[in-house]
Amino acid sequence: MSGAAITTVSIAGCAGGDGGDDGDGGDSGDSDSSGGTTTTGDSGGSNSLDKVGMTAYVRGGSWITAYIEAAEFYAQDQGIELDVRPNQQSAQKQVSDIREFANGDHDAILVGVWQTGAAEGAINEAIEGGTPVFATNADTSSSEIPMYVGFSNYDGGASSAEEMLNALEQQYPDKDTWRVLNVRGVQGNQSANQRSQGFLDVMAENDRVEVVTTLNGEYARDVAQSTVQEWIQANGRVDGVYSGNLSMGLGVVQALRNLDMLVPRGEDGHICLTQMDGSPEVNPLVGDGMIDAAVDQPNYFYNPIAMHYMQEYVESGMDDSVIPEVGTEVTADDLSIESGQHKGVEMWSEPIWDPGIVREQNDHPWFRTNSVVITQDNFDQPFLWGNVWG
Amino acid sequence: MATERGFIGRTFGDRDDVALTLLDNMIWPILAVVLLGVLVLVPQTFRSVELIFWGAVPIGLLVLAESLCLLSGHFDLSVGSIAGFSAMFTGMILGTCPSCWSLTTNPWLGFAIILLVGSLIGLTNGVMIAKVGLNPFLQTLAFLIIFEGAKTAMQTQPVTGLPGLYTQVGGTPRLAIGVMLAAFAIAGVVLQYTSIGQGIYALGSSESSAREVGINTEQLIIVVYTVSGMLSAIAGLMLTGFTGVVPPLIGEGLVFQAFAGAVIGGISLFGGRGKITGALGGVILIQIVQSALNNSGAIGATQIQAINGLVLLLAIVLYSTQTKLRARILASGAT
Repeated sequence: MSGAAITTVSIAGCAGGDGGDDGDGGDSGDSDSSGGTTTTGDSGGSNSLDKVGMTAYVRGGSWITAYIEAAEFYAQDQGIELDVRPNQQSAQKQVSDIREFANGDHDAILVGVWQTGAAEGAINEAIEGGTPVFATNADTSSSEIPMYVGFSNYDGGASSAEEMLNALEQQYPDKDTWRVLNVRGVQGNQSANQRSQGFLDVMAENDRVEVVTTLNGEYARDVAQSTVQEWIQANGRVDGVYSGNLSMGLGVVQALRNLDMLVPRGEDGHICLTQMDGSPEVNPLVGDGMIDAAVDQPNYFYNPIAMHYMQEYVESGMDDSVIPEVGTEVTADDLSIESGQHKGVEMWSEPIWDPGIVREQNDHPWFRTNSVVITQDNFDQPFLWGNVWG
Repeated sequence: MATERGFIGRTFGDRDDVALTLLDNMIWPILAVVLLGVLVLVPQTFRSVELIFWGAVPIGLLVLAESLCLLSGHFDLSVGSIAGFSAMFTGMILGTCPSCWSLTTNPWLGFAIILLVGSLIGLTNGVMIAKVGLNPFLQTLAFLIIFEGAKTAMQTQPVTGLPGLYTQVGGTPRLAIGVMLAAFAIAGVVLQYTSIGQGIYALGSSESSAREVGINTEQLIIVVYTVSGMLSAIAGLMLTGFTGVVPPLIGEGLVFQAFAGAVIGGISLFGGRGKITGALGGVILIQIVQSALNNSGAIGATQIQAINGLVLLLAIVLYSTQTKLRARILASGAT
C-alpha cells in the first residue's frame, strides 16, 4: 500500500450537474452513484494523506459555504492540508484544476463536479497517474473513482412527497382531492429531474392527489416567486406546493405572502409546503409552521466522510477493500467522524447521515447518506447546517 | 399635370409613410396578435396582469438600459452584472445578516448608494470605451466578469435584514411598475424631443457623421453608459424588493433577456434605429408569453425554454423582413 501505483477502478456515475441555484446550493448535481474501486499508487510516493486538492463551485449561498467550510474544518482537525479551488462554474476550469492537482504534490483529490461528464477524462487521468479522486455532492460519470458521497435526490423528492401527504392529511382530512403544485429546478439538470421525479412518483400512487402542474422555477428564488404567484392568481389556489430546492421554496413562501395566502399550518387556508433543503431562512419558517417540512442534506458530512475513506484508501496503498462494498449499510457504529468544536457547536457530533447505504452508480460505489426531515420538532437543533451557517 | 403628379406623389408618399410607420411599430400588432391568442388559449393568464408586469420590472429596466446602448451603436454586456453588484454592495451595507457589513440602516442612503454605484460603473464603462478606445464588447465583457466575481467575493449567502422602505419600492407591485413605466417615459421623451436623444440616434447611425455635425460623441457615449449603469442599478433595487433579500446569484444571466427584449421590441443591433416604446412592447411580449406558457396546462415546464427561443427567432425573422421591406420602400421612394 502505498504509493504509487496503479490500479484500479470502479465506476461511478452520475449525473450532471450543473449549476447553480440561486442561493443555496444543493443542487448542482446529480445524484446517484455507486461503486467501486481501486487503484494504486500515489503521487508522492508515501502512504499518508497530507495534502488534498478540492475543486467545487463556491457560489450559491450558505449551503455550499457549509459544504466547503466543513471540509476545511475536518481537514484542519485531521492535520490535512486542503487546497480548495473554485471551479467558477466552468467545467474547463475544473478539468484544469484536477490536472494541476494530479501533476502537483497532492495525495488525493476531492471533486464536486460541475458537469457530470465533463471532468471524466481528467479524473481518469489523475487516477491512472496514481492520485485517487473522490466525489462528493455531485457525482462524476467516471467509473474509476473509489467512492462518491452524497444523498439521493430522487429519495429526497420522494421523502418530500411523503411529508406533503402527511401535511395534507392533517390540514385537509375531509377533502376528496388535494391539488398540488410541483415547482422543479433547471431543465436538463439531473438533480432537478430526480427531485421532481421522486416527488411525482410518490404522488402518482395516491388517488387523492392531483398534481395540477409542474412549474419551472429554475432553482431561482425570483423565478419561482413570480411563476408561482402568477400561476395561482390565474388558476386558483392549491392545497400544497412542493419546491425542489431551498431558493425556490423561499420564493414560494414570498409568493404566498404577496397573495395573502401565507398562514401557519393548522389555521384555515394554510397551503401545505414541503421542499428540499433547509437553510438559515428556511428553518425558522418551518418553526413558525409556514413550511410544513424540509428534507435536508447532511452536507457538512459529505467531505469528512469522503476524507475518512480517502485517508484509509491512501494509507492502505489504494486498497479498495477499505471501501464498503456495494449493498452494505453503514451505521455510526461502523463509521465514526470525529467531532470537533467549530462555529460554536460540536460539529459532526450527531451522525445525521446514519444510516449510509452503499449503492452502485455509474459503476462506482456511492455512499448514499440519509437525509433529515426538518419539522417543528427539530427546526432549531444544532445538527442542522442552517442553524450553524447563517 | 403638376397638380396631378403632386396628388399622386402625395398619395404614394402617404402610403409609404404609413407603411414605414407600421414597420417601425411592428411590435404592437404582433403584441396584439399574441394577446388575442393568449386570450383565446390561456385566458386565465389575464387574471394576473399586475403580477406579470411586476415580475417584468427588473428585466424591463435592463432592456431599457440595453436599448439605449444599442441605439447609440454600442452595447453593454455588463447590465445584469451591474444590477447584481450594485444590489449586493448596497445590501451588505444595509443588511443585518451575520456576514453583512451593517454600516447603516438608512434606506435613503441605500437608494443613493445603489444609484451611485451603478452610475459609477457605467461611467467607467463609458470612459474606457470613449476615451481609452476599448472595444465595447471587450470592456463590458470584462466588467461582467469582474463585477460578477466581486459580488461573489463579497458574499455567497442571501443578504437579509434590509430596511423595509428600501425593499418596498421593488416590493410594491404598482410602485415598481410605475418606476419602470416612468423610466421608459422619460427615456422616450428624451430620445424623441431633446438634442441628446437625437444625438444618440445620430451616433448610432454613424459615429463619424455625428462627430462631423458637431456632436461630442465621446461625451455622449459616456452619458449613455452612465445612464445604462444607473438603470441597471435600479433594476438591482427592484430585484431586491421583489424577493425581499439580495440572493447571491442576483442579476446573473439577465443580459440575454435584456438583449432579447430590445431586439424583439425592434431596437436595431446595429444602432440608430428603433423606438423605446417598442422595447417596452418587447418586454411585455416576453413576459406575457412566458406567463401564458406557465399557465398553460398543455405546455410542459421543460418545453417552455425552447418555445421562448422560437418566439425570439420569430421576432428576429420578422425584423429581418422589416428591414428589407423598409429598404425597398425607401428605395422606391427615391426613384
